[in-house]
Amino acid sequence: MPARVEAELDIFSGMPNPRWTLTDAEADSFVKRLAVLSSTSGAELSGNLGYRGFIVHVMQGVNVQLVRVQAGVVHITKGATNVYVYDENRELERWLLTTGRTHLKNELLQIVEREFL
Amino acid sequence: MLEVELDIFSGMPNPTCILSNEQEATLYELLSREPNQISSMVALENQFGLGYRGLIIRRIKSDDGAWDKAMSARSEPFPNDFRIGLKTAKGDSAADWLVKAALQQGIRLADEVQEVISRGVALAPTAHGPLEPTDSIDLKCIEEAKVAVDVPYKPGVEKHETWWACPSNYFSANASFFNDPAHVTRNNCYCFASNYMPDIRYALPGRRGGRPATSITCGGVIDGLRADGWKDGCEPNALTIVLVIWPNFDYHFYRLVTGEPYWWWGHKPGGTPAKYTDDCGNSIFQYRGKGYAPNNICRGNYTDFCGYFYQDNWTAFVA
Repeated sequence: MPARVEAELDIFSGMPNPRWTLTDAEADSFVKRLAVLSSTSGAELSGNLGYRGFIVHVMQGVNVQLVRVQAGVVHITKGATNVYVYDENRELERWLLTTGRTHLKNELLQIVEREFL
Repeated sequence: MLEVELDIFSGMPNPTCILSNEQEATLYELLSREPNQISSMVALENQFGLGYRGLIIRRIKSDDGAWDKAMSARSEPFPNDFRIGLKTAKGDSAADWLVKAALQQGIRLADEVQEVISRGVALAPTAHGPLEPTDSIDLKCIEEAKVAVDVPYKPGVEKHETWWACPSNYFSANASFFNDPAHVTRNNCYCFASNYMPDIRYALPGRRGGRPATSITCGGVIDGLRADGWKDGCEPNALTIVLVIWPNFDYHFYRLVTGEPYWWWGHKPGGTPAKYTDDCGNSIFQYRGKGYAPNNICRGNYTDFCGYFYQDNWTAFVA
């Protein structure tokens, strides 16, 4: 069964974060990209105001996986299991941003792109 | 001979174990591949919070085991005491492997403790002072901010009564209540400000009162606050909050959590944990006009300061 993948730009405090559904091809690509990342030790994710990476909801049948992608660290939660993998050069994070280009306002895109400089 | 200490407890003794010769060899192999996993014993000491702080490795005795043999072959041997688990490994993490090895060796850890370890090392923000209202405060170290705490108003914004003018406020420094893992991601800044935990991830000013904020401006969100029962002036035994705006995008709130002399504030950025510090590591309290309050702290894009609001309840309902 193909996965349904929704990405969320974690940036707001009160308002709902921008959220979009990946196309089937993008969803497939996300699952594959995630699968090849190497495991790493855990790290505390930032809780500051403003850009905090992406929250990705992966739904495959009754299974739901929550994936937080932030500054080189990917935290995968599936039920009670927590796994950390390493996103070298923030490749997965950058790729997620490309999937949101048509869904995000220019001002938000610029804010996030500045984070990658 | 190496001893490993799982640095996790505050009052109770930390669990320790002695590594076997094979384990020493594996640890050396993992660390020699990525020596930057090693931190000195004093690294980040001041930034540790309560909770998992990595593993301390101690060479407690010289012998002819795998570790000592490896050290004698190195031009720059590793230190006799060091810490691992603070830095991310690109490949196999020595800290992760060592935690598993320690468990296999018989160290018994409750599921809750293993869960804490699985979340990784908890570093506190690089704060310039105390992290929360119960911490002790050195009065000599309170910073004089560029903007005084009693200059809260953006020109043109309606003037509200300030918190220090109110004779009676309700205080509760209860970030830990909102940071319960079962709820932390399900409540936003407005829930924390309202001292109410309804598990509504995107509580919106005015929705409960029947007039949801229609624009993300000071005026638009203030209309919503008024519909929810918030007032511009002092109320008896009132919650005291501050509204700030990232114009046209988002709102954020702070809540006054203690009274004089320090007047601490707390806030909860989205679904992340509530805290008493800002994004620059400033502790959000002031003493006799020095220090920090929501008007002069680091607020990122939330540039518009919309004023103080009050509600005569220990909790304010939101939706």
